[in-house]
Amino acid sequence: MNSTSEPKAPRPPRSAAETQALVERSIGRRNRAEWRFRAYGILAVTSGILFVFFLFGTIFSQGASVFRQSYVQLTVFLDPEVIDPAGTRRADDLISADYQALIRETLKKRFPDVEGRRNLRELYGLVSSAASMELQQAVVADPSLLGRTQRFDVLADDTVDSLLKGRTLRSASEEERKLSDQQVGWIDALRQDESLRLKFNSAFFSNGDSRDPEQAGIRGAITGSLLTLLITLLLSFPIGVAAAVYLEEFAPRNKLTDIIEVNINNLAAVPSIVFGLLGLAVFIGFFGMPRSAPLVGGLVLTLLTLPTIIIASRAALKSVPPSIREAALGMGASPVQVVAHHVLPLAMPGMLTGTIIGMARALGESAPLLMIGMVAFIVDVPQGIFDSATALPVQVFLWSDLPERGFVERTSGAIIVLLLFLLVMNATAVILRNKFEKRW
Amino acid sequence: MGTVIQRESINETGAAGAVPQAPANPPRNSPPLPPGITTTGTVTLDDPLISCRGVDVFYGEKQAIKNVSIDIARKQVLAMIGPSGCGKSTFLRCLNRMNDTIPGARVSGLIQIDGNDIHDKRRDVVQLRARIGMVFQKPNPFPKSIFENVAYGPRIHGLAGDRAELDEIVSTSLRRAGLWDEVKDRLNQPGTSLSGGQQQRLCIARTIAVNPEVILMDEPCSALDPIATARIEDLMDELRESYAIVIVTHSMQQAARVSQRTAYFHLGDLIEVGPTDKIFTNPSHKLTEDYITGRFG
Repeated sequence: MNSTSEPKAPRPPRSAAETQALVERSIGRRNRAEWRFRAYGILAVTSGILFVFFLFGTIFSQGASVFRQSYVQLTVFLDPEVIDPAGTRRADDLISADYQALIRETLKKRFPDVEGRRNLRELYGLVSSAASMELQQAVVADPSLLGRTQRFDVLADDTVDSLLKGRTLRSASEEERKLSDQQVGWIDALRQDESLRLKFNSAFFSNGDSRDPEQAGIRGAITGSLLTLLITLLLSFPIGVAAAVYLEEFAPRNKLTDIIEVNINNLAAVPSIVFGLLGLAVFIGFFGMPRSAPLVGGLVLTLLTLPTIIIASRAALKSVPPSIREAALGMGASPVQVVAHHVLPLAMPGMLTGTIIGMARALGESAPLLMIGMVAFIVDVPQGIFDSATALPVQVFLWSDLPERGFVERTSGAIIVLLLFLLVMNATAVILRNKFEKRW
Repeated sequence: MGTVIQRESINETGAAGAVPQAPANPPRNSPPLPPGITTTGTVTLDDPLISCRGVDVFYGEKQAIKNVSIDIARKQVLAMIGPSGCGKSTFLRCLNRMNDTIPGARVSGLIQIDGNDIHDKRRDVVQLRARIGMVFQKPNPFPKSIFENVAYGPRIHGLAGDRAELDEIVSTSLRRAGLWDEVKDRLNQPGTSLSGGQQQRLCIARTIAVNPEVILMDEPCSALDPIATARIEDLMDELRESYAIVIVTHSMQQAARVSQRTAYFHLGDLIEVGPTDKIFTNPSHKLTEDYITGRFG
């Protein structure tokens, strides 16, 4: 310390060689720093990519099998004596007939040496309870099938499906695989003559939720999600764009608009569950709208996406160069004409991108929907915005709670479908932006 | 503080030149000059198209234009010169009320075109801007086709009865702007695909398509190369036969080449205005002389 405080003699001027040497030393240091920085960057990106691959890898390895499902081919004699003993051929009678008996009869015929109540129940257990529904639907649709012998591909039971997909091991105990040794034998016999096989799982895409894993599908959840998103889009896009245009192009800059701007930014950061509670209190509690309905879900998600859309739209409007506005004003265009003829067309790609990203966020949102009752167990596919419904992410949440192995696979399957939707939406946003972005 | 001192010094030196000028030449159409005018040279004209009297412009607290009075003649080019930040662009934008669009800008004083106050509440600013067109510093064609760029003004003002008339207006305007031969085969291509000089001529064509009486040009050549600049200057010479042109320019050579009258602005004051050859050969005011001889600015 002492030496520095003392007055120093002036340093003699450096020679060019000395300066060169100093610069060279600093270059080495700088290059090393640059290399380090680049290494950190690559490390960060690599770990990010690894995490994504891990996520997608686990989801796909668990969920890919959902797209194939075990079906049993049964050749059923549609006995008029069983289905319609009175011979009325009325739809009511056809619906309430005992199709289960036909299935049982067919299975018994296939394995004639099975005897005893316990054994027979085990045999019938190979086929899903949905099988009789399939027969019923076919007969109701076409009563002339009565008396004929028809081939049906009916869903196999979830335990059979698990064995076929190798998720339950043959070597496991009867208890563990939930199949007795003789059931495994029957399965092998059915496999032998190809009447039990894996094929495309259309039930997953055509059914609503169910307590039986093999019957549970995502049609109800997808329909619920689409109806909800439709409401959200119809409300949030016009309101968001109108709010952004007014705030950006027409509103005076003063305290009030500053407060509004700050609060829009705050709203974007509010946790979604809070919006759910708000929706529960206002839309269901105060306005008396139906519980679990896509209408209410759409309203809540509108609140959620509005700030996102407004912020993105304002950014898009801001990026329109002021010279375009000046040019239009100089030509004598009125402020509304300036916006409608010049600013909006230029800002529209950015606004659409923001809206699609907001929609993608809304599609993946589950917490606010839990609050307004879209978490109920709903078997029927919703027919309109007032019907009870659930949504894809909520369906994932519901299934992830269930212990059956079939639901584990369905949880991942629903996630894959959800991710595909999100991917398509985000890709659309990117394509829109690239295609319609104007350069000037 | 600097500006105030500057202004007082102008008052002292400028008074001598201004006082004999103003009352000696009472204009026929021109409103009387307000007190305190310090401008030297010929402020007022016989039968002016535009008369400005005591125009002040404030941006918030800052005064950008101080008590400016000037007359603008028909079918003549008026060049406004002066160092950066002297308020010449601000003054130009007063004439078609473009300053209205800037938050916090306040314009006071009288501006008349053909005896009508442009700030008259009963008149729409749209009407004014159809009468006084503007060409900006940076070429700013709309990101639409060349045709649409020129057709835009006639469309919004309802100047064309049918498609044939609109086609006629567009081709005439492009011809008068000297751009027709270069673009007649590609009217549907975007205006932004043209070169800088062509874009600026497109902007001029767009302006004259609504048949204005005055064209305001705010440094129209500052973004162009010398060849494009020469074309615009030739064009201005032709346009002068039909329109009054007010041009703001940083190039004194350009002012000397294209204008018949020149106004010199300094820190918000209009120091001197007069015939261009007099300003450039025999300026009355010390500040004008210093500027045009390149001693500052």
